[in-house]
Amino acid sequence: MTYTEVARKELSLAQKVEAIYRLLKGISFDDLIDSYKNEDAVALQKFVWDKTVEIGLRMRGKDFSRKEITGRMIPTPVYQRQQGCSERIYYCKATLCILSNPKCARKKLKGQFRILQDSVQEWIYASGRELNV
Amino acid sequence: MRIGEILIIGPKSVGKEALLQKLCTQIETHEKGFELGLLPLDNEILLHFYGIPWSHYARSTAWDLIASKALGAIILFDWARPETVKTAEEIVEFFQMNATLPILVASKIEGDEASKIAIHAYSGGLQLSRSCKFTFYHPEQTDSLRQLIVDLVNINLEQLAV
Repeated sequence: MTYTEVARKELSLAQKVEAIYRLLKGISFDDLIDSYKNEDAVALQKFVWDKTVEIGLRMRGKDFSRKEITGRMIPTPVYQRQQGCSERIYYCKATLCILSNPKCARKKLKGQFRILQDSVQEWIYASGRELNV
Repeated sequence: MRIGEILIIGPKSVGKEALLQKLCTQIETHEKGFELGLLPLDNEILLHFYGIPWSHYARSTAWDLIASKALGAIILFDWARPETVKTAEEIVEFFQMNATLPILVASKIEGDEASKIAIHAYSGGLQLSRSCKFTFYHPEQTDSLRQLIVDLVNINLEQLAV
């Protein structure tokens, strides 16, 4: 499968239901990422990112910014150095490097997903305080 | 008389019966555990709700033929019971493969503070695809149950608008 084909793959509806359930309930994605094929893992990353942004916009409105998520993530050059990777910097995103280095790409995905989940859980908690529940 | 058909599908104890009882003026139980709920909107329009337990019989039914003109399917599961999520995924998979209905996946949530947050935060549903959304409902709140119907109709309207 080529890079383009990997990037075009879309999850099935059942996979999306599972992803939404885990994202909102705070259940780890680690085992799911390990069990998915490369193309499904990349599609999962795109879907969970999209849903996190959608939830962020719903719950934070105009106060929402992608930076409040990306700001918590390890910067790409730092992550690459930590992994001892000498590839070009723009390769260090799962869509490209998952074919050449699936283990490292999956590790990066797991870290990203934990941050996305933490963000969603915080928004839910904050929303609860606003509703006084 | 025009009839709008809505399929209500899910594993046991996720609120299919409560939904029919709270929304419908008349309920008929049929063999194989199927239930038919009737809700007249006026003299010209009647909604038919088909309460369908997810069984071997339901799996082998040709929904693509039977429900080709239905407004859609509402697939229920219980937020607190992970095994019902798996069943809902199975149902979603089945309908994705075997029919082209609009689908609303709705999770039962009740009693605790999470329900208030979830119903507030995700009203209207999170988009899963052009014809499928995910949302929450509270089985004891009629407004919340009515909202499921509104959300399903909205999926239909959004598809027409494209």
